[in-house]
Amino acid sequence: MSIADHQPEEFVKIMLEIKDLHASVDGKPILKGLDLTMGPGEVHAIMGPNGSGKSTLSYVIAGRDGYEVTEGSILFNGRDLMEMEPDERAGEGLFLAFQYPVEIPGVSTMNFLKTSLNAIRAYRGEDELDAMEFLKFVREQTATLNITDELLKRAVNVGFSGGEKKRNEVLQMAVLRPSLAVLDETDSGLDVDALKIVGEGVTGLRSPERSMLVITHYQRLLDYVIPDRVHVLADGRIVASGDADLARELEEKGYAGFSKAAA
Amino acid sequence: MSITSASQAMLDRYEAVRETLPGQQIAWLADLREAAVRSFGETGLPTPKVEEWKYTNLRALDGFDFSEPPGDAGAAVDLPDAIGAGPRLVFVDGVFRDDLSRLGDFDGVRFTPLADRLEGGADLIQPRLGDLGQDQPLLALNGAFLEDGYVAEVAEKAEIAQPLEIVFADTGGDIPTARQPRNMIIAGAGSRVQIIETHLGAAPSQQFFNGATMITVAEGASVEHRRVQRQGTGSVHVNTVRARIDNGGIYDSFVLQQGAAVARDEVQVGLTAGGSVARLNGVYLGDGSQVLDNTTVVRHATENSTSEQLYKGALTGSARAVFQGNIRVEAGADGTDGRMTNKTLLLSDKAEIDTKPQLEILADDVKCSHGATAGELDGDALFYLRARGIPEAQARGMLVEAFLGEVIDGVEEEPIEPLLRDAVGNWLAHAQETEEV
Ligand SMILES: Nc1ncnc2c1ncn2[C@@H]1O[C@H](COP(=O)(O)OP(=O)(O)O)[C@@H](O)[C@H]1O
Ligand SMILES: [Mg+2]
Repeated sequence: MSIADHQPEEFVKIMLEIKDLHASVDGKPILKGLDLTMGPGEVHAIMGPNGSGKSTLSYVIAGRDGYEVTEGSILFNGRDLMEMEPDERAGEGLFLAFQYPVEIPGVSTMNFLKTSLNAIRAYRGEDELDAMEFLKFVREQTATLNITDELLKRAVNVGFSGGEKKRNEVLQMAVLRPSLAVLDETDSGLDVDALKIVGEGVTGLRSPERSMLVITHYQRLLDYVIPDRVHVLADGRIVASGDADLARELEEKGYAGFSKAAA
Repeated sequence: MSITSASQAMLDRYEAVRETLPGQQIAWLADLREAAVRSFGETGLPTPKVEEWKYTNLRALDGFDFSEPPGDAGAAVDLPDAIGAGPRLVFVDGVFRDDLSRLGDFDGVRFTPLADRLEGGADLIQPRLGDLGQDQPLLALNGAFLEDGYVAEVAEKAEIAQPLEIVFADTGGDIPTARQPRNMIIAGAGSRVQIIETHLGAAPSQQFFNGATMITVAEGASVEHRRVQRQGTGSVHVNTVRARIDNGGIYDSFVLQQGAAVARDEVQVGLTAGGSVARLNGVYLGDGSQVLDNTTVVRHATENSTSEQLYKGALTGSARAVFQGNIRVEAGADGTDGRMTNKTLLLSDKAEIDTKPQLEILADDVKCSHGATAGELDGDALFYLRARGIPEAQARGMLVEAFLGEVIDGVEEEPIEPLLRDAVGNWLAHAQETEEV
């Protein structure tokens, strides 16, 4: 048994390629011509004001119902993402850490993790893990995230504090070992200690085979996970891109200048 | 007032079989039957004009031809495995089957067919039959026929480790029949017992099951009453349970409603003394054009009694469920705690629930609540699971199982728990094969 990082079938230089993406919710255009290209192992940050379409982008990538792509394309490891169901996308190595993790009464966190991992393994033609192997594997991941066995027994996100929900998202990422992780404001609502745990958890998962698209408002998560590229999203488009310094600049000056550029 | 044709058929059949009914040579029993049949004859079977039967229509019975005599009483039958290691009474096509039952001596309990207890039953049986339910047409009808059922008599302080099981099975002959077993659970002071009733039938023959169970829970006793209703898809199933609970006594009921074309499980509880407790829980799984009715009537008669109810179900196809819950708190019954919840998952556009929770509170100092919800699966939860790689059908299944799990958790680690979890799993798998779920 081995639980290796998921490797794309063939070596590709481009992991994610979004071209001229237009998407609407309830007939209302939100994304208006978004372009983004990421290579394997790269970490890109997306920053932008509230309502600029960051979560919409993450849902479109993950395949949520009601987020309609009206124009453009998204290729993931060279394959058309729009052709795949949400669960197939996960099987292909995509992971979305939700801005607002969902509560699932009656399903224990442990059972949820196990069912998810085994579903993804089944998708890839791998054997299911037995209960003992799985337990050992999960314990390795929970240690660094400061997640107790007690929490694993509780129903998914039910009664979790904000910090516990976010750590649970990072735990899922650690267990599912995606090749592309989209983290939607995984740092928001965390105090300094929780931010440290999450920041270190995410950094620990950085690898040459794993790309990360980190959506955030703040520089503070990027102090842990230094991005290769930083993009500014305003009014449904990328209006500026740069290196890690751009994030610091945004922290100081805000988005005012960029939003104008988008208009 | 005219009665329905099925009602007339019942009266005609009574005339035809009266002399062959169990214990008919016993005078008090013959009198009781006569009184019951007169009472039934005045109203016949209830129609939706009767408030309590507004949502559940028994008119399917008018299409049953009850005129022919029932078939072979020794028919072969496929029985499910016993659930526990205790005694089991088996009734096939309404007839007690010694050859299929597991009797024997079990300390602290007499568990026999009713027919064995009628002779010399003037002390134990008669008072428990006499005044019961003549004002309710289905109980009156059951009292007229008063066919063989089970009697579980538990001695004071006896703790019965193994569940007492009863199977009512139909072999599904072509001839429509009516079965009217009368059962009794008599729990002596401080005793504990679990009863598991299973109702099975072969689809799709037309059987009318009209059972009645009278329960007395004496001081400090505990009765767990489990009912698994899986009658054949052509059947009409009505099961009425009446329980009287003395001080410190607990009546804990769980019903799985899954079978029959039209089914009603009705539990009537009288909390007659302080510290008495009723827990009434149920799961219903409906598909096709089934109608599954759970009705409860809980009467808090004196101070400081408690009732808790949780009924949850899932429906597909054009199935319809009914939940009627009535909590009545009598004047002076202060300190009553009565809670009732009904939640339904509607897995198709045509599925329906009629839910009618009612509180009638005549006392001042009480804690009573009721709640009812109905809706589809949570789309956010479904997407969350799918985003984690879980295919849609499996994700839906997980959510349905989690939803119903809240009730099934109430029978955790009981012998019946695996059966219930399998029932949900198999029902879902079948529903997913045949319908959009
Ligand atoms: N389900 C929805 N229905 C209607 N409007 C939505 C929905 N989701 C998002 N929007 C709208 O889309 C825009 C972008 O929202 P979102 O992607 O959540 O932004 P961000 O994550 O950058 O704050 C906002 O104007 C928001 O009101
Ligand atoms: Mg957002």
